[in-house]
This record gives sequence, structure tokens and C-alpha cells, in this order.
Amino acid sequence: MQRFLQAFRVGAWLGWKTESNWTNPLFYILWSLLLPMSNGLIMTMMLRVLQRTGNASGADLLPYVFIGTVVYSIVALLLDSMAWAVLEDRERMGMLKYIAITPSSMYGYLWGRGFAKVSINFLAVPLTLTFGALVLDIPIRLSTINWPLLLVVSLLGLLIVTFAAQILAGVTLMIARHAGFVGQAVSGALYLFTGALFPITVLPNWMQAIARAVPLTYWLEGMRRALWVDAQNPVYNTGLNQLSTSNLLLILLGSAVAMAVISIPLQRRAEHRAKEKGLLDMNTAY
Amino acid sequence: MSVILDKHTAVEREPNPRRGKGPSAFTIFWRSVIGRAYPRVIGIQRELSWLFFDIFLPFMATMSYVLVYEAIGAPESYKGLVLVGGAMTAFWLNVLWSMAMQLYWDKEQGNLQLYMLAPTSRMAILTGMALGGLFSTTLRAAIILTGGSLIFGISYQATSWLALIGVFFLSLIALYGMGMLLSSIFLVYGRGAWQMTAALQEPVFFVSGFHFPVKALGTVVATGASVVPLTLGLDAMRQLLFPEMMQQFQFLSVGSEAAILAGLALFFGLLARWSLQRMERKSRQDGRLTERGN
Repeated sequence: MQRFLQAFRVGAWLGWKTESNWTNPLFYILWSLLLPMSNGLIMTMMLRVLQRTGNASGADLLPYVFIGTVVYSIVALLLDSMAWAVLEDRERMGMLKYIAITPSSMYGYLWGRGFAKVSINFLAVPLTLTFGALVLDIPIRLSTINWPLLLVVSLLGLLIVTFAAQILAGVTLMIARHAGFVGQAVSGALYLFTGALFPITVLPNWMQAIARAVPLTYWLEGMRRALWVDAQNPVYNTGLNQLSTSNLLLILLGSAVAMAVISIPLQRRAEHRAKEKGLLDMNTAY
Repeated sequence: MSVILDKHTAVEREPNPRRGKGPSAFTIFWRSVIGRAYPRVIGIQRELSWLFFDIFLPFMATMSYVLVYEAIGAPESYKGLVLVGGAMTAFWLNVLWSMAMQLYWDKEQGNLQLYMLAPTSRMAILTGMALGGLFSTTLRAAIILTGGSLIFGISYQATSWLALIGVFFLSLIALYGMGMLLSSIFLVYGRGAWQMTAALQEPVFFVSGFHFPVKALGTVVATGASVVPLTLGLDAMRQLLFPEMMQQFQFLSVGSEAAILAGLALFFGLLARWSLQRMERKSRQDGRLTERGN
């Protein structure tokens, strides 16, 4: 544990330096706002255009879509961050082999790198949600937010995504091609299956089954319930209205444990295989 | 007349009248264009896994946007509007990551110094990059558009296919001209180029109206966003594909948009040429052409 924490601290510090030292911290925070803010605004315009012209026959899904899009930006960043850390350290900086030969924990180091990226960008999420509430009239009010639920769901969700990112980093350690796209590819594909943009009931039955098997679907639902008082209104037909919040938390807890059980041995196996095959200093010109 | 001996056979032969002249600048230019486009065109045949990463996954992301409209019961033409925008995102991503950033990648990988040493125009290399990128990206956009249209049963009421093709190519010429300009600018950047490129991605999706008609943002924003050629290109293509629906969202007439796009194509082409020369000189002076890891 001590080795993990030491490596985590070093990874986080290095991650912060490599991510942000191209500019000053204030500009970096503003820069990190661009992704969630743009995605939120795109969704707002898409829905508002239809409502203004009287072409939308369904319920007003803007709060559902806005919260889903903004929160999902964390998923995309985190999934991408660890896989990129492997690529950068292995090929661009050529230092992954040095981490592997020291008695430190590569697992902790990569968690640190991911944490550095997400901690700054995590600030962008509440800022964008606040912008949505104040400017776009998204019904998120400080008085109606379920704070304990928000805290628990956020922590469980971040754990799930971090373990998933760790799995992708392990895969990146072992593959030569497309490693640079693994994070983006998975986060892009999950966009369709997590109900980030639309209720999963829109999908065909077989795709709904996949969506229900993805833990992030429940994380986004949990975040909506914590932030938006009307999230469980049956009019939105999210397909998860019937699920009680306690069961949702249990699913998230179980998913976090399952992801840990998969990711920890996989990372060890990936490290071992990378050493065995001489992949730690591979250069793929990604 | 002088007589020379063949160095291999020691037999007398006439001197080559072209000796010392070499191929013309025009020939070198087009050879360079083909040479730089070649790996981008041939590469997609040799590494078929790109089908999954470059087509299937972006296709799923585009589907997500269309399904938002499905969820709120929007008319079919609105789904078509999003699909066309989603297909065109491929070009913006290609221009950003494979044009604007390319000289930065080449610098990192040590190819840039080879380009600089080669007796050819840097504009030829950028043109080759653009043509090669256009080929694979057009294929990707076409598959997304066809697949999406079939899945969601979207039909198009194109008023003039000729005008549509014209506007499409005008948009791309202007867009890749812009890519060349960005590429020359990023030549002098270090790691900041990466962040700047990332910063241009999603905000442009928003202000250029990739997923909704740009007129919805108001005249001021739409006019400002028109500096990105796809803003006007997309608006014109949507007007030609969905004339009825776009009546209420028309930003400018198709003719005006085509004229502006032609102007932008010329402007970006000339500016890119000037900028490339200037930035190359600056990079040489500052010693940044061989710089790596910064």
C-alpha cells in the first residue's frame, strides 16, 4: 500500500506537470472547460431548435441530456488518460522502462497520472453544470441536490471508470497498433450504450440489454437522480425509473468490486507480458 | 561536339542533352504530391483495422446524436440534418489532427528535417497530405452517411446534385487550405500545438452547427463561425438536401455561400503559402525544426 501511495503521488505530480505546464493554471482550467461546455451547448441547441419550431413531440429531455453529456466528459477523459500515459511514457519520454525496473508500483503510478488529468477537469464539470443552471435554465438547484447521494455516486462512478481506464492501460501495454485510439474508441462506443444522450429505451431490445450491462449507465442515472429532482419522472421513459436508488447503489458497488477484480490481475499480467516480450521500450510511432 | 566515354563500357556515346537540367519544378511538385499522398491512400489497404477505428466507432458516435432526435420524436429530415453534420465531422477531425498537427508529428518523429532537405516545395507536401487525407476521409464520411440513411430510413430531396457536389468540393478545398495554414502556424509551436488543436475540436462543432442549423446561433455568431469553411458548406449542403425544412433555417443563399467558399479557398491557399515560408524561416532562425519532446 505504501508503495502504491508513493507511486500515486509521483504519478499525480508528474501528470500535473506534463498536462499543464504548457500554460498557466488559470488558462488551463478555462481550456479544460471547453469540452464539457461545448458538448452541453451542442445538446442544448439541438433540442431548443426543435422545441422553438414546434417539431418535438416527446418530453423535454434537455436536463436529462445536459447532465448526461457533461458528466460523461469525465468518462472520456479518464478512459483516455491512462492509456495515453502509457504511450507517452513508453515512446515519447522513453521512461516507462525505468518505472518498471524500480521497486515502485506501476499501478499506483498510472492511477496518479489519471488522477492528475481528471482532478483539474473534474472542476470543469461543476462549473459547466452551474453555467447550465444559471444560463440555460437547466433545473439544477443547490437546495434540491441530494448531496449525500451525489458524493457516494460520484465516488463509486469514478472508481468504476478508473478501473476501466486501468484495463485499457493494460491493453495498451500489450498492443502495438491503435494504442493511441483505445481510450477514445471505447469512450465513443460507450456513448451509445450508456444513455448519456438519450434514454436507453430508444435503442432496440438487444442494444438495451447491452446498455443495462454497462455499469456507466447506472452511474449516469445515479448522477441525474442526485442533481435533478425530476430525474425519476416516468414521463422521460428512461427505462430505469423502476429501479430504486438503493438497488442502483448496490449495482454500482458491485460493479466497482467487479472492475477491481478484473483490472488488478490484468494489469499485473500486462506488466509481466510486456517485460517478457520486451514491449516496455517499444516504439510504434503512434 | 564533345564526345564522352560510357563509364561502364568505355564506348563513346553522345552526351545526354537533359544532363544537368533534371525534372521541371512542375514535375517535382506533382511527384511530391503523389509521394506524400501515397502512404495515406495505400496505408488504408494494408491496415484494415482502420475500418473499425475510423468508421465503425465514429459511426456509433454519430448514431448517438441521431438517436437524441429519435428520442424526442423529431421529423425525419432533422435526423438527416444531424447525420450530414456527423459525416462531415470526419473532415474537420482530419484537418485538425492529420493536417494542422502533421508537421508537429513529423517534427517529433524526425521526418520534418527530411522534408526540409528534400528539393521540393513544402506546399507540395501539404497538398499531398491533403489529397491523401481527403481520400480516406471521404470514404469514411460516405459510409457513415449511407449506413445512417439506411438504418434510420432518411430520404433526401436534393434539388441539384451538381450544385451539391460543387459546394461539397468547394468546402473541402477551402477547409484543407485552412488546414495548410494551421499546419504552418503549428510548425513553430511546441506541445502547445496539441492543446490548441484539442481546443479547436468541440467548440467548432458547436459554433459551426455540425449538429443543428447554424442560423439558430444568430447572425453574429454564424457570421463569425463562417471563417471555418464547413459552416457555410454544411448550411449550403443542407439547403440542397432538405430544401423544405431548411427554409426556416437558411443562413445565406446557396449561391452566396458558394461564392464565399470560393473566396475562402483562394484566401486560405495564398495565406498558407505565405505563412509556410514565414514560419519555416522563423523555425530555422529559432532552431525549432529539429526540436523534439517540447
